[in-house]
Amino acid sequence: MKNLFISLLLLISVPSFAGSQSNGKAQFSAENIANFAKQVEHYAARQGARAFIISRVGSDPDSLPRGINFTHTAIAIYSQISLKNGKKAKGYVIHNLYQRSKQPHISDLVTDYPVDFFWGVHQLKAGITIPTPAVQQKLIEAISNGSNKMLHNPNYSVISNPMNNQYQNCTEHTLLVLNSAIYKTTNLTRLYANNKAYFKPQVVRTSPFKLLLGNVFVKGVSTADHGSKVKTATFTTITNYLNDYGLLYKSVTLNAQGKITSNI
Amino acid sequence: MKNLLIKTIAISLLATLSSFTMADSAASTHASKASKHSALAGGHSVVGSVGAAASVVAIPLIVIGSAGVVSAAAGAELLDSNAAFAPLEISDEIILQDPSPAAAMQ
Repeated sequence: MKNLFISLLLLISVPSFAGSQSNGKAQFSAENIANFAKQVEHYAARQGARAFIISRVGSDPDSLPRGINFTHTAIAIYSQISLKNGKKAKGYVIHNLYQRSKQPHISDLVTDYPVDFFWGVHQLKAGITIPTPAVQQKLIEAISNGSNKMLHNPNYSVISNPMNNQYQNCTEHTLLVLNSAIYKTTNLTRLYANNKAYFKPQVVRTSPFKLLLGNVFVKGVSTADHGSKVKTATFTTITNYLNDYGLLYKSVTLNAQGKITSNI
Repeated sequence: MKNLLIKTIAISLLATLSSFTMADSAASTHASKASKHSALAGGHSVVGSVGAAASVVAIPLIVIGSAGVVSAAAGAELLDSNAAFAPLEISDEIILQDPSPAAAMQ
């Protein structure tokens, strides 16, 4: 009886959240990661994507709360990249909000490249959401004019509420940059009002017990910005948002075997 | 009964905290970027050249039409036409972020 009680408590505590960090340990060989990263780039390039939303699986997928398929989301921009050897290359630069590894309640904006992005993943699987060309152009302009920096709130919570600016995670930041591009504004009052009016976040289905304890003891996890239900932005809900308003060109999940699955 | 309660709370706390921490430690205790560079430099079956070339500057591009007229974002028009969906070129080089100062000193 005693053991059963303890086992039950252990079970409800098992699901975990993954933060968005940049220095993950490689779970696959360098060759596999580099090849997969190129595969993702080539897929997006074949679609003519100048800007798209990219997502990865940064922790054990079995440990993720139901309905959350990816753990980190960012914006990839087709760019001319000047290399240290003097050459110029064409490929995607990824504009991220990453949680600090030693201060997980703080985030930084970091640009990296597909191999960096996929380095620590637990699955060679990418979420690729390509907006319409008009939205792509506005996204490029938003990144070029520094809107992403103006919208950054470094107070990080892995389950931040996209309806207010108390905390911000990678996906909320991506949503803000996207809407900043669409509405041509960095006015946070207007952007959060529009999130409330038009964006449907994901309900985080996990143990209230775990949320309570995580909230108290773990930096980078907070429910202080939420009401009775914990809801957050995800790759999937951003994709649905674009689709609902006719701003989506294509959204797929791509794996290392080359299997392409539509997300819509 | 009191002991059981204390034990249960202690184990639950440990389980909960370890599951949160696991997500973080999976990222923070890992190989440095210097090892990423060296791992790729030693690869034999990577698509493209294994330059692991760290970038210094990146400029967003909007390419108009199949002729590949390249311009920076400002002033360029990406039209809702077939040209907007034309395939883009991807270079073969493996491009990486520069390692952190600490990793660079190793």
